[in-house]
Amino acid sequence: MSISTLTLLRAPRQSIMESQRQLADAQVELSTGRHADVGLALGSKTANAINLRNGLDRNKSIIEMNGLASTDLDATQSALSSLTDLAHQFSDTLIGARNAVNGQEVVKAAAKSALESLRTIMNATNQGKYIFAGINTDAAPLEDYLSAIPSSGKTAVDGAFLAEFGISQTGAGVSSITATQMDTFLNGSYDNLFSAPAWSSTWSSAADQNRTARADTDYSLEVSANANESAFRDLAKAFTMAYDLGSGSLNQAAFEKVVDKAVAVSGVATQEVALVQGRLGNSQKAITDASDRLAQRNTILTKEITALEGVDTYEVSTHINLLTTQLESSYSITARISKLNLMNYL
Amino acid sequence: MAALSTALNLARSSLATVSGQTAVTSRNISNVSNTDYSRKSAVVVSLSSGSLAITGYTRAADKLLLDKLLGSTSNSAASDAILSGIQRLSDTIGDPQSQTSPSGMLGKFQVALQTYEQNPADQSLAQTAIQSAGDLVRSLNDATTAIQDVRKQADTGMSGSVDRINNLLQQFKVANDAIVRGTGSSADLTDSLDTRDKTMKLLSEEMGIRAVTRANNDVALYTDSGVTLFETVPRTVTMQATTSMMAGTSGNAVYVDGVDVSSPSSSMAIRSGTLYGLAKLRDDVAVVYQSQMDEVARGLIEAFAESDQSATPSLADATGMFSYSGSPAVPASGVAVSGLAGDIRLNPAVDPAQGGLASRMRDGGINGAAYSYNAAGSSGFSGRLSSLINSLDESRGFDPSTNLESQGSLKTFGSASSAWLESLRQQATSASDLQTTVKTRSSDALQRVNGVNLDDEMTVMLELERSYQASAKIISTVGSMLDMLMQAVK
Repeated sequence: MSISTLTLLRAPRQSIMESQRQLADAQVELSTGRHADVGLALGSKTANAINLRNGLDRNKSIIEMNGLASTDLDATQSALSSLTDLAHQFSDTLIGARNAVNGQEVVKAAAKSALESLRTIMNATNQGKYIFAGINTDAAPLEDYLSAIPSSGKTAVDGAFLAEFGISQTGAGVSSITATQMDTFLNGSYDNLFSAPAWSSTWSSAADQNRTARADTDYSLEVSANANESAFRDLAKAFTMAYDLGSGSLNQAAFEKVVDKAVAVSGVATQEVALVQGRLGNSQKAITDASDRLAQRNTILTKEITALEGVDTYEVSTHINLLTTQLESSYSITARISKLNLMNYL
Repeated sequence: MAALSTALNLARSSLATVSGQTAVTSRNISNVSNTDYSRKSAVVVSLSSGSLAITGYTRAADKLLLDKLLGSTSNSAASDAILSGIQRLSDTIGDPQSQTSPSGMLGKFQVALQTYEQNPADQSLAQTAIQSAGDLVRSLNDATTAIQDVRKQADTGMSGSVDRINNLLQQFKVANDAIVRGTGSSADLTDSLDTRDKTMKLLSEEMGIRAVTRANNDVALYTDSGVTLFETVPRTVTMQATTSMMAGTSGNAVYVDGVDVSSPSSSMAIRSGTLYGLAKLRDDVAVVYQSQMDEVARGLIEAFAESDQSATPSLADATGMFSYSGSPAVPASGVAVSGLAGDIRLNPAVDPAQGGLASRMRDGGINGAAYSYNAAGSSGFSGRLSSLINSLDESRGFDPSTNLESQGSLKTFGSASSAWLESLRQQATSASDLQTTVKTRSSDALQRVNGVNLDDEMTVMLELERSYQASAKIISTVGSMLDMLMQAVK
């Protein structure tokens, strides 16, 4: 059986073309470490590659977000510590001034500075958010009690005082308020000013709802405290009572009642702040743990992606050597076959 | 004396035969690189007088090998047509690394939402999420355009193929008629036979055919499904091209002699050839892929729909961030809406570029206050965003006609769709490689039988040269003998 000249000459063509195509692919694979055409190589496993990459991206973004949430929490924690210090300092001053000569002035001054500090701390911002505002992040939670234009809190306190005693805090008869009357007021209408619904409408523009953050793909947790929580209401209650319920002109018995109450409330507030700190501490821990977990998961995901899309570069380079050898021999055979012609010998 | 003139006549006939044979050899040599040419040889017969004559021409041919080549050509053409279409479709997926697939875009969008969720008061993050949503919508719109382009091109290709088939059948008739007429006579039919074979090879690229040889070397052609394509006269092949191909438009079927040969439901549907590949692409692969994209779009609209937030909800759910021409009605769950992927839009109410408010992503209320999730308007509210993010991972129902798992999350549905197409591409690529190899092998096998070998022809030429020299020598010898005789007579 003879062979047609055309077939003979064309025989290496197919294999040369195939080898060249493979060589081009192998070069890409060697330089990227991935399949030249990932979709083609993976086929139905493409879904895995896409899902793994989606997962990886998502985890990375959560880790990043966790970092931001952590700085929020750190800022909140340090603010809470300042509040604890403030409360302690306040209590110490009050206890020292309770029976001192010009105790009422000292207490008033200390309470004024405490109120200022409280507002500054509660209105602190981090990353453009008021950290104690709950989800209402774009409004400062507390108004300035000491401002020239009376805040709604100040108006409410003045109103309650007038309603209870028939005079203003600076009125002439303040010194005649008895300890019992003061006690009734403190535990009655004054206390009501700081109860949950009244507080939110007069004192605070914060939302009751705390901010949440996604710590992991499938769960979110609270990452803020808000100014409406009892710890902060109590602090405001203690500071305001020491500052603005007639300190300076009260008789000693009523003054002692106020100081004792303020110290007691401040003590309770300190404990409540500690609870908030504990709660947020748990969140911090959970976020750090989640980030660690996500980082570990990402390590695995990256490995899986490499296993799926990657090529064995050693094998590829061996393949390239083989292809080069094959091509070289194909070329030399083609050259020799084309010279092989009866005409050259006639 | 009589013997001498006989010798002279014989030598003369030999010269004529040799030059005839030389002409054949030279024809063979000049066609050495023509794949459609089959090697010819002259039929030389010794007459009773002892002289030689060329009575006809034959060509090297093998019916079985030709049939095999026709079959493998059709298969190869079909898989090439399918592969090239799928390759264009898979451009909508790209490399998993670049995450340009619908599922990858969903993932990116989810990440953008997550970043926004962390700081819902930040308008620039809302803006980023909107952009990402816009990219997602565009990718679905673009996929629809690409799919319909592929379908349109397949449709155009089919009508072109039908034209070529009709044309080839006419050529086939010319060659076949010449053969039928000439069979039995001494006419040289080899070129007509070559032309007829070549026409069959070209026809088999367009559609699978079967050739049946009958009396007088007449050939009848049938499609591989058995519909008569040519019997004495060509049958008409028709197809109405579709001018504007959209999702949901079904292309017209190809009819041979009035019989539907392209619809998969037809019992006479062809099974190979470019026409088959293009029809499969137009009516099956691209249609299913479109329905998958439509389902991704529908899932997206469903996941982002808003529900009545009143204490006693009375209003129906309404489309949210993603809308379509039927908004605000939310499409029925688990039922594909044809062409939805091309219709899905970013709701202008959330797109600042179209006068909307990006913060509506966070608050809801696109369809009125009753749908607001954040009635207080708190800037740090992330509840709605969280549930939107989660909704991409929640299991939902999909139309079973998509050939994919009908229950799963939007993201896994999207990636399953990419996997479906890439798996088809993988199969089509290996099928195409295989069919190309088979075709090359059968072409080689046929070439071995009917191809021209230059060395062989040269050898024949040498023989003929010798034979010519010898005959010429005889003539000159007889001539000189006769001369000598004449001289002696003088």
